[in-house]
Amino acid sequence: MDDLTRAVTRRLRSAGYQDVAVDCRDGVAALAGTLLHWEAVVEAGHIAAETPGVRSVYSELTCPGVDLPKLPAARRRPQSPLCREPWDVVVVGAGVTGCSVARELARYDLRVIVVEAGDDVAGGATRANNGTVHCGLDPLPGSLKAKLNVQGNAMYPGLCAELGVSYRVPGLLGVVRSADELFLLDLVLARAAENRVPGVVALRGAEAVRSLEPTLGGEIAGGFYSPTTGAVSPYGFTLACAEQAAANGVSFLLDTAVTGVAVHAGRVRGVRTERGLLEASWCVNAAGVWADLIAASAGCREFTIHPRLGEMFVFDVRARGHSRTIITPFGLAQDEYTKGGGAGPSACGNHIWGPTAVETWERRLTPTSRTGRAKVVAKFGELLPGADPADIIAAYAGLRAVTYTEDFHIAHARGAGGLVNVAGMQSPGLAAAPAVALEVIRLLGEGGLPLRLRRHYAPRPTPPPRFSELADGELLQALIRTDPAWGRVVCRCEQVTEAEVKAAMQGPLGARSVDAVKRRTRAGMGRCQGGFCGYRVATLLQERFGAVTKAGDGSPWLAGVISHGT
Amino acid sequence: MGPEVDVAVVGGGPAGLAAAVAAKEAGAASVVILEREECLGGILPQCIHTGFGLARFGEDLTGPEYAERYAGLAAEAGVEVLLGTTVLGLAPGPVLRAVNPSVGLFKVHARGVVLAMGCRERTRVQAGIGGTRPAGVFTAGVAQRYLNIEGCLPGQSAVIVGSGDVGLLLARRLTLCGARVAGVYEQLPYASGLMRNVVQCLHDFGIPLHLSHTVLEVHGRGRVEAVTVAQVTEGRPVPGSETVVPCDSLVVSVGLIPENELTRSAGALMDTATGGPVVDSRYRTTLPGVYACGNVVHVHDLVDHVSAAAAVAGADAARPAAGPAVPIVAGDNVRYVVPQRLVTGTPVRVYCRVVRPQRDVELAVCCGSRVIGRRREAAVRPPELLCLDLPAQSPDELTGPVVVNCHPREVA
Repeated sequence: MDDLTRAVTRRLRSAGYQDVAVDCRDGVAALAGTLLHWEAVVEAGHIAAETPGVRSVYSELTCPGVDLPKLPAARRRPQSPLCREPWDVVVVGAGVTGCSVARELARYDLRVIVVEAGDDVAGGATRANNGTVHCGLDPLPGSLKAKLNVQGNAMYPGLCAELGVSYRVPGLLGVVRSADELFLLDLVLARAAENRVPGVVALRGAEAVRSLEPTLGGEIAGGFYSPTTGAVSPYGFTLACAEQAAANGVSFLLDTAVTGVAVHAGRVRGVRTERGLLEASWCVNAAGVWADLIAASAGCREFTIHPRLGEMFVFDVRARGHSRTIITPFGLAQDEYTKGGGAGPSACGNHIWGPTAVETWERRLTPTSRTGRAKVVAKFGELLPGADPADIIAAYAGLRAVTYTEDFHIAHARGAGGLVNVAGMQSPGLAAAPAVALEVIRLLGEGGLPLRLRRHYAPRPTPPPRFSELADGELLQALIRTDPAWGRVVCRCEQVTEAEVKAAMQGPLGARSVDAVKRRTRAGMGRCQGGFCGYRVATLLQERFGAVTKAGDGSPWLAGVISHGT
Repeated sequence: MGPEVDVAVVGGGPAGLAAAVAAKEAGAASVVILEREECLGGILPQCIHTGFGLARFGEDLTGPEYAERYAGLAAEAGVEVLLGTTVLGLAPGPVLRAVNPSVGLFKVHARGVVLAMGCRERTRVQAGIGGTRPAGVFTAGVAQRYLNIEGCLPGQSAVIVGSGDVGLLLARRLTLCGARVAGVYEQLPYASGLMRNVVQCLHDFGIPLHLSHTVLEVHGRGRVEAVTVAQVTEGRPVPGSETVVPCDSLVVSVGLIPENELTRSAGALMDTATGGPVVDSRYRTTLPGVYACGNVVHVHDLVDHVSAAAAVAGADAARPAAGPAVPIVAGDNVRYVVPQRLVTGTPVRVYCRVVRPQRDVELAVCCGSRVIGRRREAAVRPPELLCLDLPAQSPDELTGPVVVNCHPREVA
């Protein structure tokens, strides 16, 4: 038993975990055993990760009622013609990380394919993000998170302008309630300096805070303001990245689960999917909550994901009593592994409150709960007493893909040459994504992937205009003359026309399901939540594609036609 | 249609149709209905059950028949109809901004604008139902549309939450279409819909009605697999009372919300109790020349009431009545009163809902110590819309605010 193994074992024992088998190699602590409950599994993992000298934790710990996770069983699918082509790089996962990487890879003379289990890009943790582009105050100084968050945040304004994606910068307002906690502001300023977060100011006294947000409720002692915290549509941004990648020759294989990474003689040979083998020497593993299992399939047992559920609550766009900035209570009583969420405007104008943070072993289901809602309403309702929880029109949840070190894990896999893991992409994964992509390119180049810039890098194809944003009546009139569908409003709450829904279904990255249409057009995101437009969108999908699903395979929209017997 | 009309009606459902016909009858030269859908009638075409028109036409009609009857009256009266037309804005004048595929963007200046947009359904989130978000969760109106217009089955086995009329009717309709209805769950200790619907739609088909129960969570990944239901006391789920009911669909029938985005954005004064604009007894909102009627003002239970009230609005839009108005407010055990202001000099029908169920009551409309209208009821429940006809009042008689009270009947 080496020193590190002994150290980890000692720490676990002193915390009461006697029966955890520990084996440390090259800084990776491998844990195995059965504990009493899931909280214990998670705590043991964290204890191991916090041991000095441990670089990452691979955990096969489990508890009664929880089986060790497995990649979802492969369905029988016909082979894809894309499986007959040779590839240079396969990107696994079409979330914001995978699509950002694909967009950067598209600059080079490479054959790149993105493979995704869901029926759409951004359909996993990305769609469940609240869209906050964090400024970089939260990550621990020196962490990969801190570096890539601040870099990524700085890239967003330019990148969004280039991609034609709307970007707002509401800023972050941390509110300190009690005078006893005002000393924390000095720590915030020190953190800002260390992480190089620009423009952070301490607000001493309630007046300074209320000058930014006059309607805040309750006792206020002070706070801080960070001006670079932004808001973006996470699916809008991801789709834009994917579209630009596709415009530069990157292929996308959606609705196709990966069953493993093929490795031969210590090198990646390809990626096995439900639709056949994608031959390639390089693989970027951006599989989110499944990233550890994808890595393990290549023999790489360096990290384990323990999902953390976050619930969000969306207010009607016309709801009153909200803030201009993204607000977060800040004090000594912080939740341990979340920044505590925020309440603020999204890029689309709706206010979003959340997320919560709930540890779970479940990797496929993302339920919201009454307790989650009550917690969020209590926490932010105190600060924003003018907001009425009756104006909450939507609730959703997602899974953060968390490693035990609580940092990003972006590195070459050991023992599987050509595999780059981009894992642990929890918050601030969205904010960091553009910088993560550059880091991945750097690693691939360093690993020997030839990076020759293409002569031409096409911009994202111009997306169709939005009816609701067309202030120019003459332009709209001309559009309706060429295509009357521009005059047919399908979704009344968000004012989305039939032309926009039809356009959203176009192309290789076009929407194939009701949810995918919703993410592209906002049809169904308003206060009636698809009550009026759902069947119209479903009808348009049916006219074009036949069967209608809510979100791809296994989610049929209806149960069938009415049979009248014979 | 020219850019200027006498009366423009937003919405071609029962309220809009009745308002338009009444406006024509009252002498308006040009009346236009702007309707979003491709046909008139609003929600009526999908309400294929009977029970419509007993008061208005003295006949028991289905929803489509009632709509057709009114569409015929509108055509006879010379009402112009613009289908597939969405109203985007309402500005002072009043002026409507609208769009449709054939004309594009256009404006309509009207002497009177009647808002008759109806209502939308409360959703699962508004009912606090958590869990996953699979396919198979429908509001009752959407499920009804699939069954009765599209000819599609939304689910094979359904749980219905909420015992409003649409939910009750849907339980029967799903059963008749071959689906299984596991049960109707109502969080109140009494049904929200009409008693006749509880009997004819649930009892007659052996569908269980679980009072003081609600749905807490939806389960399932791609498609609904089950829901968790629980007992409710004082609005809270009782811990330990949860049970999981397997089903492939959840139909949410938990109430209606007046659609007033247009009304609100134009700046009309709203009544928080009704969710609709404040109106006087001629259905004038606080915006000059702008009327509101039907479910935009408050949610009705019978379409005949909608038509009757909308006719008052339409007639006044064509030929406004003069006369000062006094406020009319909710008193004991009354949640709200519509209209919120009484115009003197014309007869008025007052609508109200109670706060809590009560037996043997007298509904009384009083001005100071003077009773100007009363009605006895054996029992009242909050979901029921109560109405009371008042004779025309002279301005001298109405010296102060008018109050509607629901009191226990005095034993004489």
